[in-house]
Amino acid sequence: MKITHDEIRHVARLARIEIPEDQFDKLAQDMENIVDMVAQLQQVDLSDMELNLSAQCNIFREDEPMPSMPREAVLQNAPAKEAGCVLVPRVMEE
Amino acid sequence: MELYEKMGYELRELMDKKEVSAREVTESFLARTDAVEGKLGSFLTLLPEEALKTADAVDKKAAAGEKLSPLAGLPIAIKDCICTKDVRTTCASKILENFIPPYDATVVLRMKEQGMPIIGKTNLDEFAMGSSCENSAYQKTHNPYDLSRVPGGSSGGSAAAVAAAQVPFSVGSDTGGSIRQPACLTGIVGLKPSYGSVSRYGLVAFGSSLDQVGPFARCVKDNAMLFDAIAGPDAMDATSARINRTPIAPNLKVGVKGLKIGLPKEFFGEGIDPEVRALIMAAAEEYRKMGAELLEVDLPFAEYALPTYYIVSSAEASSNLARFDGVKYGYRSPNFEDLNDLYFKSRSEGFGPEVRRRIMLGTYVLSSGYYDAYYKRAQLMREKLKQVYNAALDRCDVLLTPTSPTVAFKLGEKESDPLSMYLSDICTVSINMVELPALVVPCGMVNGLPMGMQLIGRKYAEETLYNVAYTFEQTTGLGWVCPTL
Repeated sequence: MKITHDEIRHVARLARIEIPEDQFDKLAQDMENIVDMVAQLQQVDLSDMELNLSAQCNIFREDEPMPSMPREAVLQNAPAKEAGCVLVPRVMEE
Repeated sequence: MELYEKMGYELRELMDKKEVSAREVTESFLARTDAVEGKLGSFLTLLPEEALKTADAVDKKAAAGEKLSPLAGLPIAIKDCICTKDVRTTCASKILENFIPPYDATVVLRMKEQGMPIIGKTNLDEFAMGSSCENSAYQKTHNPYDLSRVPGGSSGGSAAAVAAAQVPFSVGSDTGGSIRQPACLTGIVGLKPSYGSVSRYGLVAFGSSLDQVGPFARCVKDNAMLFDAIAGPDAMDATSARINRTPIAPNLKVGVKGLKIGLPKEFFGEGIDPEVRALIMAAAEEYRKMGAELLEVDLPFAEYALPTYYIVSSAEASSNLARFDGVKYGYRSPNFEDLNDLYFKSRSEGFGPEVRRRIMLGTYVLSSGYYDAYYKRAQLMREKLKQVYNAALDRCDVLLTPTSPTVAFKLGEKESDPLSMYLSDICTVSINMVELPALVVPCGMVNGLPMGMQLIGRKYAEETLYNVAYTFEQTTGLGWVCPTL
């Protein structure tokens, strides 16, 4: 299946990944090969199957208050922080 | 014979008889690591001082007459996608180059409770995506039996470290074969536990419906000892099965009389190297001589496992890896204009090519217009495969298959072609999708390189797999051979 440069651009935007223009051809080719491989699934009749997501359901525990990680530990890996908060560029208009 | 050449359970006996100390054992493995690490590149981080401190604490306990845990004083290495408190955990990615977890994964806590000295963190394909360890952002790991070849992946560092006797034990993670294929290519024992047998709390998520943490060791008994220590319920993992097990290692049994071993013919066809096929068939024949019954079984739809796996795993990866955004932890690009640009730049500069490719594929199959055609169909196929495997395991106690279609390949051989790399997982991926346990055990050499067979069992029947593997190991004498390095 052909994957166009527009599709690469669209998917890359959804995934928040920048793809340099000179890598488009190689990536499109790689993805075409992979998509052709996974497209084999289209040939199978699966009309007798139903999704059975309940079989994998989570095991819950009681929702009880417990000590949580100290703020400093949570923030120790933040690339930028200020006043006990994570720092990001402005997101609201002035 | 050097201490590092001895099995973990033998070292336990020597320590219990006070013939050696935990410090001597740890020093032996550290010296071995010093001597061979330059050739192998198994480790991303080494922790010799911390390891010796743990060993000394064990010796102190022993001197005070306290009872020691089965694995006390036996060194271990941890794949670098499993969080270790205050020790850098990179996932072999630039995006986590400086990440220092503020907590331990449950499996790490359990090792610490045992008193296992942690020797270091091992190399992997970035975010566990790959089958050769070549996708690491930091270094390539070499196969201890031929340095021009890969150790397999993604847990290649953990496998090479055990095979080369840098450590007697290690843990890895397995999403589509990442424990089993490297165990096979380095001639050691590796288990992919049933989904839910071992807690994933603290494992950096790749494909959450597939991921399992599991043990590596040089013999079946050692492997079972480590499984006994890390398996079991954990309130911190909502998918961990609430099963209380009795320890397997002290109760291993030799004997397969009357056991039904299924040989799925789909695993022995085209694409499997004829010499590999012959070796696996010879192992089956050994079992028959020991009194097991061999049955040919059908696994219809098995040929769709690989496409199904790449849809499910890439979709889950694209979703799981959305958390790496340059905000709360991990790499943040210094050059950005606004918040959205910060996301784009941090992710594009932080992730390597294979991770970007899988995120793109996952995003593509989940995107509007393609969801039904790919992701939903893959989920339905997964249900179909569960039925097929369960039907086969209704007729047989275990299934016996190859683990890898070939012996370890050369570094660089498959690097430029992602699809050929994906094909090296053809024997392993389906087992993650059907949530079953699978154990890989060495069964001989092909052209001087190690090869292992895969034993697949019913859900939570790890004990059966260990007994069946133990029988082979004890009866044939085949198993780990210390590599000359």
